[in-house]
Amino acid sequence: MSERDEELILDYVLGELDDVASATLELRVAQEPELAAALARCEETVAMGLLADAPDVAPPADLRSRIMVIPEATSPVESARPTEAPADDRVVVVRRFAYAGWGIAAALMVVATVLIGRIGDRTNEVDRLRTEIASEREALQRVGAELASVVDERELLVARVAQLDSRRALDQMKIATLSSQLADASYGFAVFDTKGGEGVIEVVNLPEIKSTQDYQLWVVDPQYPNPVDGGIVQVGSDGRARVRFHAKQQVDDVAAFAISLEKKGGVPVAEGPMVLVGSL
Amino acid sequence: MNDAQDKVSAEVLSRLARRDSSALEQAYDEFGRTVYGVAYRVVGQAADAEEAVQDAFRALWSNAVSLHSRKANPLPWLITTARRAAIDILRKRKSRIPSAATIAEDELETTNRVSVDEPTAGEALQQKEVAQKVAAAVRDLPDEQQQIVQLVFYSGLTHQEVSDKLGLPLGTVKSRLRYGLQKLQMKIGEVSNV
Repeated sequence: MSERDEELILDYVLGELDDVASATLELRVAQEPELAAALARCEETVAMGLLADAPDVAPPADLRSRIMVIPEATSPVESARPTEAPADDRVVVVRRFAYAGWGIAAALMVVATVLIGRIGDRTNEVDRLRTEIASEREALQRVGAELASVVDERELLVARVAQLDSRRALDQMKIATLSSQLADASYGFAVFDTKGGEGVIEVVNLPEIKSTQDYQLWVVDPQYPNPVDGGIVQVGSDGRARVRFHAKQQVDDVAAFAISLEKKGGVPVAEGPMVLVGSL
Repeated sequence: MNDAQDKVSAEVLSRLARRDSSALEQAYDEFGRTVYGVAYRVVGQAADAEEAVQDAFRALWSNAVSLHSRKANPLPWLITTARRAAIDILRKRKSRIPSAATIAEDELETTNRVSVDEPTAGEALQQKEVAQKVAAAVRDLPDEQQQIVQLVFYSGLTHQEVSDKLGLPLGTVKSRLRYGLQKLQMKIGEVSNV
């Protein structure tokens, strides 16, 4: 028992506390047996101290009959109107004690209601925050999953783009095998990049030619009336050649590759016989 | 306040809590005279003492449930409640400590009235003996504590007013009062154990 509580109890017994402080202490007394016991001791001490100096006088007989009507007079209706204006000072005193119980009960109810309300509010708030946190957590997980999905999708897209790029690159590459037009064993193949306008041709078993002649490569693009000059193909003594070439005109599409036998140094437009031809 | 009285008190309080109006009648018969004496000591006149006693019993009826739940002893509670009611009346009417002459006049008046429910000879004797011992204990208190106990109990002055009247700090008034009551409590314990 703290000194502060002892002081509170004494003030309560002596009527020094205001209504709110009294109601608060009564609430504690109802919940704390130690405080209730201390209050009982204090009441007894003060009562005995008062008795020690009290005269032994008999009350008037009619006081008993006035006390006996208290249960009838203290109706719930009266008790329910504690704030009604008093008729005089005596009524104030009477009401204070007659309705003290109801007042305290009302005060306790208010305190309890406020506390329960606050606890309820806190509980609701905690529940609401928990729900929000759970919701936010779920949302975060969803976002994470979506992000992972997006990353995966991006990687897939990048791969897809690379694949498409690769495919497009392949699409740009024109590849053809060239067959002999002379019924011999010669053959060849050509790869041409339309975007870069260059390619590679490799030939095998081409017959040896005169020194006044050259093999000349042609790229057939449908947009031009004549095949585009691909340049001279220098063939070795073994009839083989692997030559990087450039088309002399812009080639957008390739319909065929061809090698003709031309005069030395080549010609702008094919004149001699076709030796190898490969269509796409 | 012996064991037998405590048992009766508990039984009365239990019935009051159940809204048994006959228990109020019993309570008055048991404690009315004692409570009246205390109220009379404070206000110094019959009419106000009667009013204070009515207030106390009205409060007993209204607070029976909570008093029963905390196992309060109804007599000390009635006495302290009647004192507060009497102090309220005293403050409202700007009265102060009754003079000895006033008490004597009222005592004469009350003896002419019809007294009811006198305590038995044994009860009256026992109560008187306890009261005398407690009165002696109060007298044994150091003067400064005794003075403050008397002023607080009967004058109707608040602690602050007592502080102002005696020119003492409020804390000193409260501590002296508390120490005085602690000594009184010890004395009451000794008396009860005899």
